[in-house]
Amino acid sequence: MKQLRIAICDDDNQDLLQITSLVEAYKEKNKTDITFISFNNATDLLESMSKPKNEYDLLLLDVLMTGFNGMQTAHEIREYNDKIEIVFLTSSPEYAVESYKVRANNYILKPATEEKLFPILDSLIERLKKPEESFVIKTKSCVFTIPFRKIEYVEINAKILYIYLADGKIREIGGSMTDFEASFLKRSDFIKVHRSYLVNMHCIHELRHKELVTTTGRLVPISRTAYSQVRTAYTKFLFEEADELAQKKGEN
Amino acid sequence: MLVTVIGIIRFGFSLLFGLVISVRFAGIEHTRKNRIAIGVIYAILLFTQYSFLWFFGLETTSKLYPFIIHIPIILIFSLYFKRPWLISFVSAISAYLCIQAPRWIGFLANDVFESTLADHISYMLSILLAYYLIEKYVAGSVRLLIEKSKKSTLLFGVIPLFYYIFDYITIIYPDIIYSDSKWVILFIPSIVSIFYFVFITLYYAEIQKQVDSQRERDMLDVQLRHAKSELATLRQLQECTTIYRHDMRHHISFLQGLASNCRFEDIKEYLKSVKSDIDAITPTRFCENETANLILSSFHSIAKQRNVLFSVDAKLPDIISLSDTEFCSLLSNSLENAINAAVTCSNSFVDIKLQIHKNKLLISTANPFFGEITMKNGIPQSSAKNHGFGTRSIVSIAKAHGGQTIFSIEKSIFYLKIMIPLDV
Repeated sequence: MKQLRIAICDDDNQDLLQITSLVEAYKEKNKTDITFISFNNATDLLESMSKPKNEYDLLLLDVLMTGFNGMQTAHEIREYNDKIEIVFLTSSPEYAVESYKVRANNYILKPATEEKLFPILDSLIERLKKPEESFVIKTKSCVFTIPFRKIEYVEINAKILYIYLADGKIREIGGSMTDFEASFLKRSDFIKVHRSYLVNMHCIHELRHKELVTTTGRLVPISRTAYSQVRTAYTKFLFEEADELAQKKGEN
Repeated sequence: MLVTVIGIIRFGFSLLFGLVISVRFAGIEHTRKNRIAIGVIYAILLFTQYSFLWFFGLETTSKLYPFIIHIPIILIFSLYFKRPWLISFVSAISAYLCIQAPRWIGFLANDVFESTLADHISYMLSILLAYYLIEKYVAGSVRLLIEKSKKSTLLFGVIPLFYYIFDYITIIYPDIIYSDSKWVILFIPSIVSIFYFVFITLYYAEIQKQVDSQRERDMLDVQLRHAKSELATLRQLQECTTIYRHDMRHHISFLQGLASNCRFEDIKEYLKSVKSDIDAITPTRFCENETANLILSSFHSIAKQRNVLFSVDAKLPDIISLSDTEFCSLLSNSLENAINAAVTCSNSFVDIKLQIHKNKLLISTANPFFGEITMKNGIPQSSAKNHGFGTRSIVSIAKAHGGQTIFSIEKSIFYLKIMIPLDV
């Protein structure tokens, strides 16, 4: 996992000290690789962020600051930085709506405590962990990997796992659903549509009532009980996928 | 002798009645070919029936009746007329049930007048009456009912089936009905009462479902008509713009006149008013799609009037395979709801995003709201003011196209996502 870099900005030195000590405590407790830097005004923060070498993953930002306030600062940052995660530190929750506008991830009501800050850091670190790109298969004789994006779906049948690939090929290995399920389902793009089928939502061409069609035209049954859940998950996935695509286009 | 002849005619009569009624119940089409076929079948069955009567007598023939008449009818219906076997079966035994009332009237006449002739004649008269009533009031509904689904066929067929079984058991074992066993005598009444309740309950549920879906259709109809008129107004507005541009000549000559008189202040004033006029009627181009542009511009100005920050991210081609009225209804209902909700907030905005991804139309809106929103089955419930027609028509349009609507609330922002698969 790569290092988590945090910028903290608060014009109240007392508060700033408290936050930094919390982050320090988190670092100690979890033995995670965290670096942080603190600022007591927005101008310094913006100046630091304008330098390409100072790239931060997370910004803990006070809303009420004299001079340039937190919300203005966040707007400014969003002009050129889409990636940084912003968490507001505030004494009142009235900024919830505006924080949507600057795509803030969360806000912490002051005073910041372990209970409020740590879960946010946990989920952020979880997200920064790059999911494994490939499915690793260990057999007695060898170890081989298949990139997840090349897998359309997997089927388990009589203790054999069939991996249907996007190029039309099929790989087989022995095992049971419980052996493999977790490694697929911890990815957001795989979904269990049936007791013995896991599908890569990137590869769904059409979702029907009792089955789905993959991009290569294979049919996968959907269990009756899972259907409505699968449909909702797929619809949400489509929106996410479309947004991701649009973002990628924007970056290029 | 006369009584015997009339008795024989009576047999032919009830066979004809039973056959015609079961044909009507089974929904066999009224074509010339079918009429001839039924005529031939009737002749064959009649011949068989009389031969049995002649050779084996009345009692044996009655016992064998299911095998020489009913089973052949069911087989012919399903094999020759290609009706589903369940429908053939149920229509044959239901027709049998229809004969019971005339039979009872016959018995009654027999007892009252103490004459078999009275039995035969009142039987045949009541059969004629029964035919008239069934043809006029019953046959059509029965046909629709048993064709509707397997479930309703079974439901309908239960009483005739039990009656049929019961009746034949009593014919074969005539003593059973006169025995002291109460369970035998109470068998049919209990079956009837049980199924009476089951039938009424299910029938009510079915009717309710139909009423609901009719209401839904009516509502959607109103919405779509509304959308249509809205689109027409918008198109008209666009025409105004074109006319305005046409009038440019006049504006220019007027300005020329002012310029030659050096009335620069007037020129400025005039230009200002023309510009705002044109601004007001020029639809903004958000994307390639004309319908989307019309609706989005209209809501853009509504949002502006009501101080709602309106931002659009639209990437749609000029043609999408969704009818203009449906598309209009989707967009205007989403935006109307969003603006109405957002306007109550101090920091009000509405974001809308339109795109096509993997041949699916994706519409998403986000807006803040004030107060509480209660969700029921994932659909927000309206305040009584607008009755939630907008929301419901969005949901039903999406549903009709095999798509989906997702409503959600996250950190005081309301999100609507509509996904509609487009035809290839």
